[in-house]
Amino acid sequence: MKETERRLVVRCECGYEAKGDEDEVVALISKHATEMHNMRATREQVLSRAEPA
Amino acid sequence: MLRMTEHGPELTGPDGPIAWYLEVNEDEDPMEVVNRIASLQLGPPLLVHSTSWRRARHAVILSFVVVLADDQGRDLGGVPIGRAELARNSATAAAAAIASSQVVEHGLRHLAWLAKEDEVVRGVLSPAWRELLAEYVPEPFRHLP
Repeated sequence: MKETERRLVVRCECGYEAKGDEDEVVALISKHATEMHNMRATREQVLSRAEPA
Repeated sequence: MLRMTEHGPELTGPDGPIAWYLEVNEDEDPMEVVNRIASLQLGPPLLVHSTSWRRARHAVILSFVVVLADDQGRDLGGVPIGRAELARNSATAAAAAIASSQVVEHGLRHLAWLAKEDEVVRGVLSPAWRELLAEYVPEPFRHLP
């Protein structure tokens, strides 16, 4: 399995949770951060909060 | 975010009754950000007003009261708002500790002040809101810890 296919989970402080591979959680959390918290989250910032799903 | 129900006022929001945190970038107006994000999620609110500030989370936190129209956010989770004593200190210092219920209490006292002093605010609030706010001691913008 490629590294990028690992299943990850990223949890926002508000309780929102995104699961998927790296690209998916980055896309989901970035959209959530922008639309719900007016935050500009980088890929590195999102992945720094990721844990194995 | 506040809404009026047949049982009284409730604290609500897209994440339920927990505090909703928005980031304000250095080139943005806090009021515009709150109004824009709230409108994006729920449609334009009745009222957006900043009520207090405090330093926390390595930043300055501005507290806003957002009042929803009667037909907004009916499906969101919420909790009834009760009364609370305000956190206080000396004339020149903020209180040492404060609970979220005290932030809400202060927000409603601020809203009560606006309902008395500001015709625009008074005009958008429903009779149920005006009746409720009449029970609060009006208080303007304030520094909270």
